[in-house]
Amino acid sequence: MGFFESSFFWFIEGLFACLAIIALRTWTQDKGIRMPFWKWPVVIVWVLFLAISIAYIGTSIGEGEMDAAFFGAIFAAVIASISGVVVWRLLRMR
Amino acid sequence: MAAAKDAIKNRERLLASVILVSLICGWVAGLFKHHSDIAGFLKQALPGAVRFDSSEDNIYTGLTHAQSESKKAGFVAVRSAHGYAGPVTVAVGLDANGKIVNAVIVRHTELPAFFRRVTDNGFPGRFKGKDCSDQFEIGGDVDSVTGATVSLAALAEAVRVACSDIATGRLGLLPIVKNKPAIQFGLPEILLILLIVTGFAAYGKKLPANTYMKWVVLAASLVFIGFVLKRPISLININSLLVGYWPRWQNNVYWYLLLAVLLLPVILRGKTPYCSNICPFGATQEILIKLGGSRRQLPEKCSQFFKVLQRSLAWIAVMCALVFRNPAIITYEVSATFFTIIGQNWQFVLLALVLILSLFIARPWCNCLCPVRAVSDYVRLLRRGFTR
Repeated sequence: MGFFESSFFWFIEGLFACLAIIALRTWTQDKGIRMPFWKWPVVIVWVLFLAISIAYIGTSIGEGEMDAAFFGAIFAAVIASISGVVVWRLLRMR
Repeated sequence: MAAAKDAIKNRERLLASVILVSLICGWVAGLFKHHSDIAGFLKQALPGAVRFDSSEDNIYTGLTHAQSESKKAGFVAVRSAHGYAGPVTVAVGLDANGKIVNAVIVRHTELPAFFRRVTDNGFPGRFKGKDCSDQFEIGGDVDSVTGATVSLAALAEAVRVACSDIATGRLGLLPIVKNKPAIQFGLPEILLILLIVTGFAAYGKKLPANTYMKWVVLAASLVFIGFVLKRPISLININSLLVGYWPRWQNNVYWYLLLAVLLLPVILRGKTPYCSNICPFGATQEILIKLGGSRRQLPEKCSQFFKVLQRSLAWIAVMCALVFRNPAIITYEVSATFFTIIGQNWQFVLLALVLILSLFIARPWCNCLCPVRAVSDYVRLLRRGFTR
């Protein structure tokens, strides 16, 4: 079993996810951005989309499917950018 | 200050004249373009024939031997029909029973990415064995191809005309009547007229809730002209007009309406509502800039650079179309790629860049690269020169 299939890898993933959420909370408090409950799922869904896109592109490259990786990257970049801007504007809403 | 403005105007007028002369030269040069020899295509259309006798009606009789005692192997007709970017020409071979032996594409000027869909689906080889009395109707006796309907319709029409001409002219059959209305005027044309009327009204600020109306027209245009009909205006339409590939108006009311809404207002009044109020790709950029919440314009120096680039690229594309008599020889527009998800890889990269930039800069495609905008600017410049 390789590192990326091991439980240890997922333990580190979880650790980083917790750190990212704490970092986001601290950052929003520093910036004076209010974070009501509905903003959290919005941010988490966007981050998940980004993670899945990166995983999709990486997997496609790994499988030698360069066309799939290329189109995946193009679509993901556009959708992530547009939704990222929308999420950012929602975050800044008071 | 006034002297500097006059100098700029004089320079623009001189440039407009130079461009006009160059386009006329390009058009004349295109007249001398070498046309490919069709002998090879005749042989492919009717492989059983050794030699071909031609006649005035452009129907070739295929003969089985080189000598005078040879028998007729069949007939070949070379016919064209108007596709998206000009004529699609095919050589169709028929045997003595009126069955298609083979159909070969002689020439086409369609966009390669779109036409590849037609050939990848086995056309024109799939016409083999069809009877000359068939209707050649897309979605009927000819399977449709998603994303290349116009190109396939042109191909099928050219084959149908060739079959019909051989059947009536050589096989002594009755003319084949196609079950098609004399003038094609349906929902797409009605929708386009509605959009044009409301777009004009919103542009002329004649509607009560003008801003809201503009958004309604833009959204409707994005949905109908963009995603449903997938036929926004493109430089290819303008090039077809200049090259002289004018399709029959009876079957192409939509095509003429679209060109009229772009060019006529510029010629008559010096401005067009198409770009700001009707263009579906413009609507996409407007929606994105609204989402981005910014309305930033490019810096002056940058804007000047892109204006020169936009006009130079458009000039090169038009010149090449005129010289090579191919409206789609150079195309870099991303609107078709956006609405059809068909295109070259670099077009997808450019499209992604434009969409992302649209979140932060007002209409980057329209202001920096759109060749249709460059053409309308040029017509405006010419008009100004003439009216003066």
